[in-house]
Amino acid sequence: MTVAAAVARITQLERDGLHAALEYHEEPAGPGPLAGMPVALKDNIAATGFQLSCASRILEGYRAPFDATAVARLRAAGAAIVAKANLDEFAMGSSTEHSAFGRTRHPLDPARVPGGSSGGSAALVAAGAVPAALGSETGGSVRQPASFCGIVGVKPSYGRVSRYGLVAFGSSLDQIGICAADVATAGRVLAVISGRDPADATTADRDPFRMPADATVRGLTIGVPAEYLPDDLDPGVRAGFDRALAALRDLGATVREVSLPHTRLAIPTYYVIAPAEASANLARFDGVRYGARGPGADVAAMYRATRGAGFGPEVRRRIVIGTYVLSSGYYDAYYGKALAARALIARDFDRVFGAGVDLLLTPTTPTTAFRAGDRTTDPVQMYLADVFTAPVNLAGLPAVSVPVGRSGGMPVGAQLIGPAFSEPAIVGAAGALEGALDAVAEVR
Amino acid sequence: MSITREELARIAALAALDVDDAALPELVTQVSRILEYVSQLGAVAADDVPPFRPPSHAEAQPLREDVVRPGAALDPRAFAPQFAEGLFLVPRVGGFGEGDAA
Repeated sequence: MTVAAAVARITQLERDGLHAALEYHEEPAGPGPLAGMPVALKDNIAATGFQLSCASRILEGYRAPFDATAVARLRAAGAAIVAKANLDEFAMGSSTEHSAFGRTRHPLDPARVPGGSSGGSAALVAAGAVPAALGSETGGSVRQPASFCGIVGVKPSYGRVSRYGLVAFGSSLDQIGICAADVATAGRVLAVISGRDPADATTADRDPFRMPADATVRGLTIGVPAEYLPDDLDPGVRAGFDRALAALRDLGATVREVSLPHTRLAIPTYYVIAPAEASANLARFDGVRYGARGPGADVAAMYRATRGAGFGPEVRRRIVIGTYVLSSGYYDAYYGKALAARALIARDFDRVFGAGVDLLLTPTTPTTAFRAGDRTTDPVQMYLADVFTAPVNLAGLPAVSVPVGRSGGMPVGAQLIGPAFSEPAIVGAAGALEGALDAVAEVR
Repeated sequence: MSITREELARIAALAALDVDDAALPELVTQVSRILEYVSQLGAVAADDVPPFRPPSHAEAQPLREDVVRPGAALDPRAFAPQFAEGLFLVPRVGGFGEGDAA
């Protein structure tokens, strides 16, 4: 696909009401391993020549003053940035309904959500506008929309990809991830954007990711955590998962049932730690140096007015939660407990991988894409959409979601989870699984 | 675990967030719902659990050399709401009292 064709496609999709691209235009492509590839970026990733709104009124009109490291690497590899994709405001959400600039529609059913928070990125790839789009993960915000939209979603290990130029939400959780039309494209992009960055001290001192020589699962032991297959799992999601598991067996993998007993703590843990970190990270949006500024007779009033009007309801909720759990008298009861629970969740994964399991296979999401408006009145119902993805972020591990079929016409995804920095094994396994399945076939 | 209207107003002030009176009741309800949900963490035995370290830094956080480097070469006039003579201009600093953001 050429850059011109991508922009033309985006133009048509926006006219038709997809609302996935907040800004889009052509830019020159160059030589390199991604020569000529049009790529979209979630609009919380900085790219010169484009806005950086985080889908928030508080950054409306703000233009990125520098390139994120991941973007600089894409451009140096010959890719062309063609669009800034819609998202839940400041990456806080699971449906892309919390954007200040309107919700993104699901490419297959406009009454449904594409997932979130990287819903715009996933929708643009699923709609055939671009072969790849960068998103960001804090609790599942690449894999969940990828699963909802029927595309590949990659969450790298924490420290695999530089966060320099990614607007911070939860700094101990955030990672730039990849939405892609297929595993090979995702792998090509990951190879370019990954690697140590002096501008981000949390990047690991490791060589960049390299594509595995072959896509195989023969000889691997695949663990299936019982906690990810509850009795009330959506039947279509269960059928898709069973299909994927059968395919891995047919490809020569050994399957073993395992247990991750602290999985049930993941969502409450995530919704203490992430808001706590967000309350600190979003303190910088105060109207002083950049962004919107509200009225105030003095600077304190200006801060309150700027932030009260500039942030949307979900962001305000999370800042309040984060401030509360870090405040005197509540710190130990909430944040201290969440830190301990996080360590237990990570230890569950370490124990399983240390006992001979190479990779885990689980459903990516508990349901297929839900209808817009179905979960906006009860925040906890929305949070539960991340039940299978958030544990991976808490443990800092890598995972890839692969489309495994459709249920009632809506995509179903399954995810492969691996030990830290096992991306070559996961990408290889994901490629094998992708090749063995018809991703658009009904699973029941 | 529900939060009172007064407590939520105190937390909003700590976070430097104006919340108008019309929005306050719904925010109290929603925050209470979330706090009730996460309070199940109270049953977690936190003693003797080694803290989580990200796999990227199982050892100590690497540090860079302590040398002064130039700051970002950005012109504040391109994005500051008000900027003059090398200064970001803001309303007067004053009126800080209990509950106001510092």
